[in-house]
Amino acid sequence: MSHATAAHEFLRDPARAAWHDQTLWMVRMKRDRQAAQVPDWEGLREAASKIKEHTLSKLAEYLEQFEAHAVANGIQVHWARDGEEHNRIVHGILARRGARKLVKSKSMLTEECHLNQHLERHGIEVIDTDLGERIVQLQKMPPSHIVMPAIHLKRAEVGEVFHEHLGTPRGMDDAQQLTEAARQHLRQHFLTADAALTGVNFAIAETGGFVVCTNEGNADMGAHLAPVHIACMGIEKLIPKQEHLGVFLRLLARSATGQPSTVFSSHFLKPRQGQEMHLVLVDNGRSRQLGRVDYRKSLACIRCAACFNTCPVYRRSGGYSYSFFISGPIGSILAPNVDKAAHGDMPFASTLCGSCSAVCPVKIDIHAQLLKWRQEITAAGHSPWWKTLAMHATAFVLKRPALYAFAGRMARRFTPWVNALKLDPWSRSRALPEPPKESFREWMQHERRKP
Amino acid sequence: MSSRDAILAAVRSAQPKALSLFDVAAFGVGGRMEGSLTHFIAMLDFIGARVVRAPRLEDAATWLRENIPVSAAIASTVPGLPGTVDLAAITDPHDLDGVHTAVFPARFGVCENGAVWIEETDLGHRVLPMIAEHLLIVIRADQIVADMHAAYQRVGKIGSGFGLFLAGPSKTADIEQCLVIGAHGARGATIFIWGE
Repeated sequence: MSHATAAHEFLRDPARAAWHDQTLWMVRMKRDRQAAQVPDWEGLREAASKIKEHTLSKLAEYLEQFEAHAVANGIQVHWARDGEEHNRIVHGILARRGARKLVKSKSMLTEECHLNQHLERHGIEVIDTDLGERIVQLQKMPPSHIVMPAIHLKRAEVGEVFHEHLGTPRGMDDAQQLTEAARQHLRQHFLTADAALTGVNFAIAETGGFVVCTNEGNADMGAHLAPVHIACMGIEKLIPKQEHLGVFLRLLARSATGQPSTVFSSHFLKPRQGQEMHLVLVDNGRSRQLGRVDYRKSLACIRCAACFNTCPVYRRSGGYSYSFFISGPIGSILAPNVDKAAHGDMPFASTLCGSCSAVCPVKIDIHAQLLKWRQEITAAGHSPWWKTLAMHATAFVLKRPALYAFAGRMARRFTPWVNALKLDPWSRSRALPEPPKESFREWMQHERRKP
Repeated sequence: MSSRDAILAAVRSAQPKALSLFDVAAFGVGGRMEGSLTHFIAMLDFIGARVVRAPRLEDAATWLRENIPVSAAIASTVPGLPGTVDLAAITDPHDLDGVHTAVFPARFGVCENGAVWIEETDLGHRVLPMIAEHLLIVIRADQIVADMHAAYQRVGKIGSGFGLFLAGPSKTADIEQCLVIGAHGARGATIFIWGE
């Protein structure tokens, strides 16, 4: 289903669509308030951008440095070329330990690799422990937003999910009570898990350590209780030095949720006594993207989702309207790297207004990359036939001045009637202005003839 | 070729010409923040932490007596503030489930976001700040830095295997963006600032 078709479905309930739009805009405004309180926020963004650019230019060296330090600290490091290899490695670790239950904190990488489905096929129970992720997991749905996975749901709907799966009273729709029910439910899982899996926000080459940020404390609850901790990261999550965290942690939470900091910013360096700690480094197309000069900078992303919250198209179409697990503007420049044909319409789900680039804490030129993908996707023949036809027809007319003048005359005369038929999606919800009586060229000719 | 070598080779052939590293230490003065105890306390208030100020560390014992139920399990790693749980006897962190209040020291606090830095050696068990229902974190009033750049200068080389910036009680807004204090970690965090 194309983004436009899916968005049309989403917009069938205008009140709900307006609520979704306003909720995300509220998060964007919280971000603005926090950003304004930091002196020289722009300098901070520039610093982050420069650090990431530098890291990507020496990524192989930093990966080796990181691995050497992590291994010296007692962390077992694994390398996965693609999602399938990643899943095999994680399952292998769990199988060797005879683990039956895995508690997992938020990791977009494991969504990317479809890890949950893989482990469940092998009889391992996977419990997503971020509240939003648990809600959508119980619904058997993917997250609709990378930071706020259940942002599209109303309290009453969460109440229904919990009534069905956690046995809460029917009709319970108080956020406090629902969160408490989830806390009790998930605590039992934390206490009985055989292994914990977390994502990685930042990995530090000079120390071999990694940082995981949460507000709920779920990554820590899992990792510090379970006998096995597996951390999974894309190879682009590296930063050279620990002091660089000062730059990134100042930007991350402010950009993501408008908080000055996440509640827990946990620095893992060594396994705790008696614990096994594994780290899986995943490529899965990242080295390919690194080689694409126009799109390389997309690898600087720190997954804050500020571009989602500001995007007028995302806010009014919802995460499920996009065909890739990372939706919104950043998803729309990452997805075509994975599969140009399957996600070919995502870069078109944008007004190219540039708001995404303006809020991005690492200064990715998102809207410029969206435009480049459009050109590349069209050149590769992945645009819909009617658009190709329309573009060729337009080019044909524009190349022929006489035909262009004639077409203009016809358009001025007949467009209002044609629009009344509402064939063009643009005119379905918009009234076009009255066409002028004459073209600029005709007007010039009249003016010249005047004495 | 192993996956490791294949990935490194692919990255090497894809990465651009090496760029020089940005110097964070030289990062513009305009981007740094001022720090004071007043700023720190205002920020703690903003992030939902509770602040108690007292002249002496021993006053925390009085606070505990007056605010924590007699029957509640208190796990403390602060010398001079004995708890009711014998942390040394606990080998399995799961046994900490049920701790009412955890008492531990923070090395320093950060004005710009209200976070405090804690190291594994100050906790005994890494899970203590998450598994306990409430936290009493003690910090000396002069142990304050302005911003996160200064914070990492202060952190230096982490000697233990785990360190944490903790900013207030655990929270979530995953249900309709309603802020709820007390997600998986502590439901309340009191920062005990002493020695002003």
